[in-house]
Amino acid sequence: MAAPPIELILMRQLAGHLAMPIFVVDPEGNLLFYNEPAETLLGHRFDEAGPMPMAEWSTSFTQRDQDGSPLRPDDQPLVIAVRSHRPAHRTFWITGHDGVARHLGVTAFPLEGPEGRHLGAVAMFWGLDE
Amino acid sequence: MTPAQKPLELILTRQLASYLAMPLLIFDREVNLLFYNAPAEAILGRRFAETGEMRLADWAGMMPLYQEDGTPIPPEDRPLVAAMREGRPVHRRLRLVGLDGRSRRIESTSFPLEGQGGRHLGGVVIFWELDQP
Repeated sequence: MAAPPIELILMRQLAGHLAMPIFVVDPEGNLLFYNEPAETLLGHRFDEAGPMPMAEWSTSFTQRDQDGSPLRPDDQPLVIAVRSHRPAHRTFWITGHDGVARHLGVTAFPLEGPEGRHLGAVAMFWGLDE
Repeated sequence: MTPAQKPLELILTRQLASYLAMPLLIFDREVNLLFYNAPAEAILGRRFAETGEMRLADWAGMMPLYQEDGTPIPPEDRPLVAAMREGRPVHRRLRLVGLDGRSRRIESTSFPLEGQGGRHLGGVVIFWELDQP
């Protein structure tokens, strides 16, 4: 398995020190890492979940729009950031593996390296009802 | 400004920023400008080595922001200031005039950096130029 780019290594290192829930994916949208604060939101430790493809994580947690309708993967900010290489933002409800529904704001943005290298994307989550 | 040891999280953010191609600016918890990377230099029109760290009032005076319709944005309403005040990201389309005098439409994402133990570390602004030539 090839070593990830330095930018993703640094992003993971930084996320590991921050208190904001952070999710990091590679250019294909494969989940590379989420930090401890994200584990609390998702109700699942990263050590247990491990890396997973976009098709899996984007449907792994129950995500609902403000009106309660299921959020399609194509409408999820992190999926948009990976595919369009633009930032995306949304509020929605997510139910983690612990069965708790949480109202969240999500900010996702692409990570772009020199010479047009698409490195992946990052999502940050913010609790809205705390 | 007197150089002081920065929190590890800000050091890591600066290190990451130096590798990225997205224009990125880093501020401390008092919203003093700490760093902007080379892609930001290209848009702001001046090298960071020339400007160095600076206070918000100086930064806002040097780099005013405008709504898309041209209305000036006061320093207290700048997206990062709002993000740090509200403790959440702020996204906005706006206009800036770089030190090269050129007006640019940008989309910005600003977010606070929160460390473990409830430490407010500062904030980050990332922007994307719209209507790139």
